[in-house]
Amino acid sequence: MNADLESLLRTDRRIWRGKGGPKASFPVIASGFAELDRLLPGGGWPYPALIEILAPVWGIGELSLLLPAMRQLNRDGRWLVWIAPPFVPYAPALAGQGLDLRRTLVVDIPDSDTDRWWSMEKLLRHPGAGLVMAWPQRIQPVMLRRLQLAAEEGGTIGVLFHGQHASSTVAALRLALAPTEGGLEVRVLKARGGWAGGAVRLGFG
Amino acid sequence: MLAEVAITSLRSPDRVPDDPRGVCSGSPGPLWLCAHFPDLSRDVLPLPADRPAAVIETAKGRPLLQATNIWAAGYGLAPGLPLSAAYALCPDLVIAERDPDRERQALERLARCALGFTPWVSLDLAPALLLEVRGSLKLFGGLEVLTSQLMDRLAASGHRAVCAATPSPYASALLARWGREAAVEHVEELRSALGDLPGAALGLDERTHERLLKAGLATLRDLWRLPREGLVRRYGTELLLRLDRAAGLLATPLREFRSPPCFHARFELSSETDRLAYFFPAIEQLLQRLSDFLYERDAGLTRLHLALEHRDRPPTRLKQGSRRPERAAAHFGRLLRERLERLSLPAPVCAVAVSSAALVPWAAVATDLFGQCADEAADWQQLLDQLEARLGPQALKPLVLRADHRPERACGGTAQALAAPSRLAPRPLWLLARPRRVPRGELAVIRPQPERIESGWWDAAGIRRDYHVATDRRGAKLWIYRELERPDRWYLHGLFG
Repeated sequence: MNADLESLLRTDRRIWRGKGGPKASFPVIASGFAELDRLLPGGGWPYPALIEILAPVWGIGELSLLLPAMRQLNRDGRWLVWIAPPFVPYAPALAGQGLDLRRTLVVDIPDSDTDRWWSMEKLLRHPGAGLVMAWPQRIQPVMLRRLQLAAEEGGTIGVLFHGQHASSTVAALRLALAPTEGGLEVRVLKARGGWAGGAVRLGFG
Repeated sequence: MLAEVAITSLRSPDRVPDDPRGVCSGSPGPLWLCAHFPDLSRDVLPLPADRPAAVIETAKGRPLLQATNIWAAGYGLAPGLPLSAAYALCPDLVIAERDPDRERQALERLARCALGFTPWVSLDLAPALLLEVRGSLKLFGGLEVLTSQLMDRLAASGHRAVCAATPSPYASALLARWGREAAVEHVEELRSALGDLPGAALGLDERTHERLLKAGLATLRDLWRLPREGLVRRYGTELLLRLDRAAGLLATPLREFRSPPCFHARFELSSETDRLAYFFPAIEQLLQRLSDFLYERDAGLTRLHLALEHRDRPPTRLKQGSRRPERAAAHFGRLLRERLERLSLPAPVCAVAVSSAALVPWAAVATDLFGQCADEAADWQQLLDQLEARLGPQALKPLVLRADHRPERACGGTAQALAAPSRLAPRPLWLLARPRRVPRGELAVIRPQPERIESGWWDAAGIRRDYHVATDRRGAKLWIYRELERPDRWYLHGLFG
C-alpha cells in the first residue's frame, strides 16, 4: 500500500476500517475483568469518554462492574462523583471495596434534571474529577453530545446509568447489562473503534 | 420581609478569633507575638551612618541621649547620658531631636506589613507591634517560620526587630524589649521564662525601682517569691498589677487595636431595576474594587455579604461563602451570579452594597497531601463552591463512615474521622435510605445463614434483625431482613449494585 494511503487511513478518523484494520489505539483504563477487556476495543474502558450502561433494574452488579476502575482512578488522586444516585451509596461497603471516601462525593439534586445535567457537565470538564456517574430519567441526545465533549475536555469518564434503549448515541461506549446466575452478562451495543454485538459473562462472588 | 439565603461551606471555619483579648480556657488561647524595634527612634531620623550620632530627648528639663549609633557607642556614649556629658566625651557628635510623629508613622507602616500575618495588630506598646498569631500558625507552618518570615519582612522595610511570643501580650513585650527572643506556649511557663528579667524591665518609676534594688529584689523571680499582700503594702498596687500581667494572670487591656481591615462599598443605581442584567455590572464593579482591596493587603476572603437595597423595604441580603480564601473578583462574581439568577426579588433594586465578612491572610501556595498540583486542588474547591452556590448548601455530601453495627448508622453525618471498615459479612453497595417492606412472593431465592444484627439497646433506635441475601424475580441481588419479633415481615434494606 502506498504511504499516502497508509497515512490517510491512520489519521483520518472519518475512514472506518473493518476487522482487518489495525487495533484501535486510544487511551483506555483497564476494566479489571480480563474477559471484558478482551471484548472492549483498546482493551479497557475508553478514557476520556462518555459511557452508557443500560440495565433493566438496579442491584444486579452494575456498580461492581466499575469498582476496579474506580479504585484505579482513586489511586491517581481523582474524585468519584455520584450525581443524584437512586439509593444511598453505602460508605462501609465502598470503603470495604478499597475506595477512598475522602475523594468521593455525592451530589444530591432532588428533582431538577437541568441541574443534574449542568452539574455533570461542570464536573466532567474538571480534570480533578475521575469518574462522574449519573442516573438520568430521560436521555436527551443534545445533552449526550455536550457530556461527551466535556469528558474529552476534562480527561474524565462520565457514566450514565439508565434503562432506556434509545436508537442512537454519541457516547463512546454503550453496554447493556443483564443478570445471570451468580453474575452479570455484559453486551456491547456500541463501541467506538470496535465491533458491537459481543457479549461476555462476568462472575461476581 | 428579609430574604436571607445563607450558604455555609462544609469545611471552612473562619480563622479570625472573635475576641483575642480574653484568655479563654480549654482551647488554646491567643498567642501574642511582640516585635520590638530597638532602633526605631534612630532609624526614622536622617542621621549619618559613618560618624558618631545620637538621638536626644528632653527629660526633666534637660536633654538626654535616647539612642546612639555604633560609632557613638565606641566613645562610651550610652542612652540616658546627659547631652553635655556626651559632648565632653565626643565633641563632633551629630545629634537629632527625637521625633515621635515619625516614629508613629514608621510603626504604622510596619503594622501594615504585619497585617499580612494576622488581622490582629496592636500598636499599644510602642515602639513595638503586638500580633495575635495563634490563628495564623497553621497557615505559616509554625511559630518559628512565621517569626522568621515576619522578621524578614520587617527587615526589608528597614527596621530590625526583636521578636518574642507568649500567651500574654505584656510578657511578650517585656521579653522583646529586653532582647530575649523567646517563645512560650503555655501560660504556666511564663513565670519561669520571665524570671531572669531585671525588675527594671517592669518600667516602674525610678524611686520604686531603687527601693526594690535596695531590698535585694533584682529580678522578677525574686518578686514572685514574695507574698502578694506585702508587695502591695510596700510598693503599691501598680507593681503587683504589672507582675500579674507579665505572668498572664491578668489580661492586658490593649485598647488600641488595629481592627482587621474591612471592605464596604455601595453603588447606587441610576434607576430602579429588577433585571439582573442591569444591576449585575454594578456588583461586578464592586467586586473588582474588593479584589483590589484584597490584593493590596495580601488577604483572601472566605465570606462576603451582598445587600440589594430596595425602596421602602428592607434590603435583600446574601451571604456568599467560599471553601478556601479567594481574592479574584471573577470567582465571587460567578458564585453570586449563580445565586442571583435563581433568586426572586421582592422589589426592584435601587442600590447594591458589598462588604467583606471574613478576611484571612492570603496563602498563595497550599501544598496538597497527594502531591497534586496545588492549583488543581484549589480549582476543584472553586468548582465545589460553584456547585454549592447553585444547588444549595445541602447538595454536596461527603461519604463518612461511623463505627456502629447498625447498618443505617454506619454511615452519614459530617464527622471527618474515618472509622476503619470492619470485615463483616458482605455489605451492599446501595442502601435504601428507609427500609421498604417487600412481599415474600417477590423474593425468588433467599440464601440461608442469616447475619444477625442486634445492637443499639442503649438508645431509642435499637434493632434486632436477621439479614439475608436474596434475589428477586428480575435478578437483582437484595439485602433483606426481618425483625426477630415479626418474622413474617420482610424488609428490603440494600442492593448489591
